[in-house]
Amino acid sequence: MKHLKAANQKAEAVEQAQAKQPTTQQAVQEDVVGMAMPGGCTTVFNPGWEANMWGGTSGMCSPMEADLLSCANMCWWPAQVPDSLQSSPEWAKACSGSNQEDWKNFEVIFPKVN
Amino acid sequence: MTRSTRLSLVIVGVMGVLALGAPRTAGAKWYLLASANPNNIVVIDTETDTVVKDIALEGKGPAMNIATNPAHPQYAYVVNDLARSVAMVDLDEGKQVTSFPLTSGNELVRTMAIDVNAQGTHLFIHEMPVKQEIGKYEAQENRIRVIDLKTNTTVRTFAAPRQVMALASSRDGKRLYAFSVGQDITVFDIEQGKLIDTIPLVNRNITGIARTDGLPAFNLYQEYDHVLSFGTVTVDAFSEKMLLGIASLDLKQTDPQLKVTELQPFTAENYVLTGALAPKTGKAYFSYNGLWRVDPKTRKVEKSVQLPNTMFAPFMHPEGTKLYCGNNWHEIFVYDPESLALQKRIPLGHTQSGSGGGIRFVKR
Repeated sequence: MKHLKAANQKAEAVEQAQAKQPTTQQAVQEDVVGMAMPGGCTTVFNPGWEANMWGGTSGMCSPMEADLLSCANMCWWPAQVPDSLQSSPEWAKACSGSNQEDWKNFEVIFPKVN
Repeated sequence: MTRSTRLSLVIVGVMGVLALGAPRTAGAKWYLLASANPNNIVVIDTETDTVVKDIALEGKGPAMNIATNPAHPQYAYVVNDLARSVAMVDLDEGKQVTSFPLTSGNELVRTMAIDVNAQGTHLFIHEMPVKQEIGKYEAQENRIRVIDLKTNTTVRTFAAPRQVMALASSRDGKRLYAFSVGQDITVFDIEQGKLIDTIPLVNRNITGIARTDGLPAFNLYQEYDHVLSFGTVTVDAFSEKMLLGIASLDLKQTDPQLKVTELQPFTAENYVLTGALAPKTGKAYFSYNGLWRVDPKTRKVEKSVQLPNTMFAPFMHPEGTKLYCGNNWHEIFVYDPESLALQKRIPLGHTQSGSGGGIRFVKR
């Protein structure tokens, strides 16, 4: 039973892509694969930036600034953190990260709405 | 000119020739290289643990993966320009010498993995090309570019797996190992540009093990006599519980065997990105919010301390005398490998970019 209906063009494109999925084991060999061990990024399909892979917050990066540029520079979390490789390459330019005050120098980024 | 003067000049001349002909490593010491924001390479003298150079690279940052050149340690190669170029850096002169741009035309190319072989003759770059068309991007087949470092020109490219986060060369320079996210390890013949072997990692055929993941994202191996190591997570086929382990691969061997040792449950409290084996003692070190040492033979955690803040990975000094923690902070912490006591904090002046391969050691 289908419970969800595509509400925009992107969702429709996802539905269409899913409908085209081949069914044999050989054919579903994916181009991009994940790890059982979370490495911290979209390329490995981790859970969100705000929760660990067990659904809690224990053991996460502390402070969060210790992971902030890492996530941005490598485009790990393009939804939660500005994407420094593609969309917002200059956002951290004024921040050396050398002290707590300096973290205020990040540019403010707003999502682009198409 | 007197006879004694001539003799003195001959002695001085002979000494000069001997000095020029002497290996660069005679009396050399280890330096730590750290890539940092916005686009810098920081050089640290590991005898004093002080910054001796802060080299600003040209163009856009961030400075990310570093490949050292074991045969010509004056030079290092650094991914920068939004992961679209590899800069060649002269560590003596403290400046960028040249750059290898990867993107051309409507093909956008980025990299997450580079390596220079032990002979210092070739630079390997894993490339992730995307064709840019109006309104869409089209992912192209991934490839490895081989650059001849005598001429600084590309000599060949060959097809490579996707999601490669580390490359490593065999000591004889004949094979290149590629480590991908969630895949087995692939081995290439460098001369032929052909896939010649696959070392099972995810697909280790062991009863009771569903899969094993891990890769040497911070791959110091040339510094450790070509023994490469990294943290693993093994999923138990029956309980689906995860175990943290350590893997190693001796790249001096023609046909190296991957050794994986499961050590302890992998939980939120001991979450890590990876780990490493100390080259002298064979002990395993892990760091993230804590720093701890495990003996792979006994699987016993010998020592554990809390870190002042998250540090992505432990980096053992090649001589085993100090343990550095870093790769993602504006400081590098120096620990005693035995007591795990914090000995020093080295301020870098910038936050590290947090990429793989952001810390390497070079002897010069």
